[in-house]
Amino acid sequence: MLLIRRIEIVNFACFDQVEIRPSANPKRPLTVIRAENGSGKTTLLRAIRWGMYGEQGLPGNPGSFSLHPAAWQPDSQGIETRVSILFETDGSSRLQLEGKPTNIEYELRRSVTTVHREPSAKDEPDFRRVREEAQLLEREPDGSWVPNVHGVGRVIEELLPWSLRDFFVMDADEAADFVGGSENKEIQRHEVIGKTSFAVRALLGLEVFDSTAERVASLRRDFERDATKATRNAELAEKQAELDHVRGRLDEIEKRLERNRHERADTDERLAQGRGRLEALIGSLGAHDALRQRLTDNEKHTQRANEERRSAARELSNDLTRVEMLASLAAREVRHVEQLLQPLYDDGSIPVRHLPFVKRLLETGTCVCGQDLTSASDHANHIQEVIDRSTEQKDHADHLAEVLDAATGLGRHADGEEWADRTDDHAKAVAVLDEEINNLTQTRLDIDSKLDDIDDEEVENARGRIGMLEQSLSKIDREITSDQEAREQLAKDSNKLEGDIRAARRQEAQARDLERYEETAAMLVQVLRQAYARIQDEQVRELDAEMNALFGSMAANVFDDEAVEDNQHKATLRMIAKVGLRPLEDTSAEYEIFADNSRGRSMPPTEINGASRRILALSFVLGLCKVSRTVAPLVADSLLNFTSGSVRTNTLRVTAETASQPILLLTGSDLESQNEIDLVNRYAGATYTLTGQWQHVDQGGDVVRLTDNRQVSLLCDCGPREYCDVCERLGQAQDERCTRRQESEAPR
Amino acid sequence: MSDFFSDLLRATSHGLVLPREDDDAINRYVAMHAGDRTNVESRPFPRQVDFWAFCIATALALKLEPRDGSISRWGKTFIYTNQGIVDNDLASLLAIVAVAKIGLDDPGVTESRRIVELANRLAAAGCPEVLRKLQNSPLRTTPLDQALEFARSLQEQAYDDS
Repeated sequence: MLLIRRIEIVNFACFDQVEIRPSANPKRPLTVIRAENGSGKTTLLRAIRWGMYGEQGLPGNPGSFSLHPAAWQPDSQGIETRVSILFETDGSSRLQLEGKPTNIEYELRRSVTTVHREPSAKDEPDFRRVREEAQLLEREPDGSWVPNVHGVGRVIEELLPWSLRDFFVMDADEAADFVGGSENKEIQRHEVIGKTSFAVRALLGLEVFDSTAERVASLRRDFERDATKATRNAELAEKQAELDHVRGRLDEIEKRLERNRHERADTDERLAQGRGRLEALIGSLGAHDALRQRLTDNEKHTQRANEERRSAARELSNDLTRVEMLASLAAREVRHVEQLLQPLYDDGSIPVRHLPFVKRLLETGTCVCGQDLTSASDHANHIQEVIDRSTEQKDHADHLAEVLDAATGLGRHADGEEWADRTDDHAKAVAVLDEEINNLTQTRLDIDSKLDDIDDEEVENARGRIGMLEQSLSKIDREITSDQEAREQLAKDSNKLEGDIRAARRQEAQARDLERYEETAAMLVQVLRQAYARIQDEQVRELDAEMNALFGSMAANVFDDEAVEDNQHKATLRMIAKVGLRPLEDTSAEYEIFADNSRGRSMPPTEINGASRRILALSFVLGLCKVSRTVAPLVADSLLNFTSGSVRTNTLRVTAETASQPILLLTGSDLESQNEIDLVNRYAGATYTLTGQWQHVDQGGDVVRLTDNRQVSLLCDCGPREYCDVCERLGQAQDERCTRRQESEAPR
Repeated sequence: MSDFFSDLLRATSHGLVLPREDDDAINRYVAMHAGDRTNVESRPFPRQVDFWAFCIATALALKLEPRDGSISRWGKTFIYTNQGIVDNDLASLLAIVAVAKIGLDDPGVTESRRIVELANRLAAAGCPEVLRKLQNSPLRTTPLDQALEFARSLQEQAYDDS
């Protein structure tokens, strides 16, 4: 168990002096340090790592990494950087299974002085560090502090080994190394396996068994050699030398086997990636056929739509020739003629309808009025004149009657409505077809573009690469098989030699005693190995189930979460059906984290996106701590990057509920939603805000008050929705969700 | 329905005429040959007689005076009436127009020669207006769209006047 009580940082990069007291309240174990990008989150993490591990806790080339304040100009007098970590343990460590009955309080103090030095080369730093000191003090029952007898290195290495630095002081990007590295980083699979296996063995206490078994096995060999020596038998000594030689070869073969297994793991991963790529490409090829079919269908539809459009346009063109339209344009003339001729029609002038009747009167010789028309009377002459005149005008009148008839017919179209309606219908039909043709054209362009994306050559290359990797894998497999056979043979030889030597040694009394020791040691080794296998099997199974449960809790609701913005991340999380830890094939001491899709196919890290990798790595860290009952701080930076919606909320909740002392460095955007704020209010026993004061408005930042023109970060204990004179940012005063803190409460 | 007027026009041969000076411009908007309907949007008129009839209607809607002067000096005959190109509907309309313009008492109002002559002069009067409209199409507007749009605007004008 380890709990951090206080962290004090003095003159470290952007920090003048800050003090953090993480929550040690088991009911509210969370400590939230809110800081915008560029405010010093990563520097804070480095300060803690430097405090714990010294120079080896620094990234890159530690010599050129400056610890001193950024604004300080190196001089001969120098400046002291100091980090002090006050922590408490229950006396247990990874190598001691039982703790002491009482808690022990330690203070780890590390300091170094930076002074100026003249660089001898252009790229060399103009400073060097001198007088690095690390001291581990232990509090005595009377309250006094005394130096710990084991020293800093041993105690820290036991409590928080350097190899597990990403485990307890976690930059989430680096923690993703447990699952193949973060998105922009590629690491070899065997390195991932090495890192994961070390963490599993260290925290599950398997190392204790392993190292004890190794030690007892070594003792056994010593007893064996001494027993042989005690016989003073030259022939036996020769056999013993031969046995040592066989064992030496066995060791070599074991090492080669391990190397080959790692190489196999890396090749296997490359093969999985290659197959994944090929699968994607072959999927594309399948899609290729479907796209071709769609293109053919599209062409048919386009042809049909164009034909229909041409037909609709012809209708429109015909509309230009319709007499209804012409008549409506000549409406004035049509109406005028109608009005002109209608009276003539009404009075019988057009057409000449009375002519046959009058002619009949002349033939009968009596007028309708009763006068006689047979003799040449005035009346008869008048009738004859009418007949003559009417006969003369008949053609003209008939023509006009036809004109009236036509005018009446065309007059019905003179308002043009019928024509306009019909033309509108035809125009609409053309517009609809235009839209359809546009859509079809767009679809065709999309299909063309997708077809262009599929590169047949790439498929062939991928197949070629897979072929080469398969050949390489098969060669490694052959070597492994051959080595395994050789190992078996050597083990037989070794057993035979051991048996022979043992039989000969029995002749000597002293040798018999030593042999009993050797036998005891051999049995102990066997017992330890069996216990190791049993515990390992059970604990790894437990860890496997725990990881899957934690991952499930963090990825819960992602299916129906509308708030998730990143579709890629959503899709990948949805694709993961099972996660866990599995032993590497053929070995008993190496493990790797896996993620399987719903079809049971293992997805290589390249197929898992940033958010999923973080969640997967976190489920491993939290699961391992839980299964191993490790009580230790989890200082994590960028934990919620790439997550959103329910995944972000779940991740924060699960971390707060599972880790024993989570200290999370979060940005304002990580805490934007009310869900996260509620979780902080519920679980956080301590909250801080880290502010880079140089982020002043004049310099493009949004901190309201410039309190110091040097590049310093200031810490106040404002919560996520609070602000004070130190951390106030633009717009915060208008934000109803934020509260101004009393000056007295505000900060250091 | 009787073919009184089409028969009248077919009975004697009179040339249908459009202005000679506009011949090339007119041909740009008329289908190149009978049955050619592949490009109706840029050549909206199936035949020259359709363009001719549209010009007459345009002249009437715009109340343009028939073109004067000797037709043989400015006109170019594109077809003769005895070829039966003028259907009865159009022939009826031409006869109506003749009555309206010449007067019902004028003995010439029933003569196909006078009817066709009046139609030719009206077509010549309307032709420049139609061509102006077609030639000044806005971008992305086809001559077919432009002709239909022009017809609609003329309709409104003629309807209001009547």
